Amino acid sequence: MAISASNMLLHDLDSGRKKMILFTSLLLGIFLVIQSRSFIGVTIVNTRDSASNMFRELQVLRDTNKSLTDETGSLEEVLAKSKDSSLSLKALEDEIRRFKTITGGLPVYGPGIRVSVPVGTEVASLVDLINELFNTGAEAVSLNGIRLTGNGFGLDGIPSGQILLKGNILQPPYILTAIGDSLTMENTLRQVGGFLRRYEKKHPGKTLKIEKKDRIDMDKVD
Amino acid sequence: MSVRLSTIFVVLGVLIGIFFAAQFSTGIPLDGTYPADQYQARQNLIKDFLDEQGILRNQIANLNGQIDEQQKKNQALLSKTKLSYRDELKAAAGLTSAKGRGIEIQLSDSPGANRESTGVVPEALVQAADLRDIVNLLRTGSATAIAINNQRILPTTHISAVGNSILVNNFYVAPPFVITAVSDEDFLYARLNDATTLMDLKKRATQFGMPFTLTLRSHVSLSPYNGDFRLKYVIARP
Repeated sequence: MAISASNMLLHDLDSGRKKMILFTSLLLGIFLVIQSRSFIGVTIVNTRDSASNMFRELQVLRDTNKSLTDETGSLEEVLAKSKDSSLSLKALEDEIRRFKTITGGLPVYGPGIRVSVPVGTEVASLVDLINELFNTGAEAVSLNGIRLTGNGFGLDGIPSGQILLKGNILQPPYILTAIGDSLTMENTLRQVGGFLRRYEKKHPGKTLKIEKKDRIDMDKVD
Repeated sequence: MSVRLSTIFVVLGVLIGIFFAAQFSTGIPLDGTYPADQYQARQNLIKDFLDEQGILRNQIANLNGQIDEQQKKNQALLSKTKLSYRDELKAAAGLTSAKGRGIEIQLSDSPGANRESTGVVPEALVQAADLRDIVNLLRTGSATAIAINNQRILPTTHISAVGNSILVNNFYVAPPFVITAVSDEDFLYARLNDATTLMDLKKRATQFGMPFTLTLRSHVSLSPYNGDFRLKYVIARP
């Protein structure tokens, strides 16, 4: 009788253990699926675009609207000056100077960053880096001393592995200089999930040299 | 039996721990894991921002128009040379409409792929990087003006991804994407058709049935840029 009770207890224990193993395995399976789905979902984002979240999305929209509000403010100022006959010539000259600055018609300077990109970097990564610089607030960018203005600054890979820009074959290392808020630009490039990490992941053993500069000069475009 | 069982539990425990750690260190939340109310609040905020953005962009377009009109009225006071120089610079800056022969590229997500869904395969969606590659290629072919869904592309334009959304000049653009370029060169059309360009996009378009067509147009028309210019740090030398 005692033996039979002990056998039943052992049987119950075995059954309980089996249930626990079954439950644990099920849990493991669920985590496996969740994890693999989350990795599948971020493959491309991790490769060429930064990971983003709700906070970033709203911040971008808020900053854009602030910048648009500032733009309307400065245009209202130009309009007011244009309506005043004593100031209209000055308003026109200011506009010309502003557009010349935007289109590269004047030499410019300002604080910024200098990024050295090693040999072996392909066109897509340079396109992404230039995009990232403008995205982080760069107001003027040059590559190996060539200012990126107008629509003719596409980068082209040539069979020798070199890169062509505006008819010039670029010699590595590729030096990008950007005028803007140097701290924001540097921090954004270096942040977790930022361009630098993605670049290093894509190009094992290579890295970017990022330096803050108090003053960067750029020539006007001929 | 009990040693084997303990080993199984230890192994399973370690594996679960690893998956827990991996899951929570991924750093990218799945959209679908937001609580419904948080998601709704986010959508409402985005809508408010976008509405405001639309109003501001209209204001900018109106103000640019008013400045033009006012300066035309001032022609007696202002030099014609300076006015026409200003117009040339405005065109170069993308602040006037652009017309001429050109190319139109139509590109969209794979039919049935839902950008809002958590289970969507990213390769079946048009990515910000795809649009950047197309714009870069158009620039190498000397396109004089480019737009994506009528959003003018300037030298300072950035095309970025925010989740599964795409922003051009920080403005939302959604599929289907129509990329228009003013260009006189048939060379550009040939380059876009070349099998060695846009290889990843062309491969995915075939694999996932993403609509991707190129058309030469005898006439395309692009609207002026109606956003902001940032000149806070750049100082022009005389």
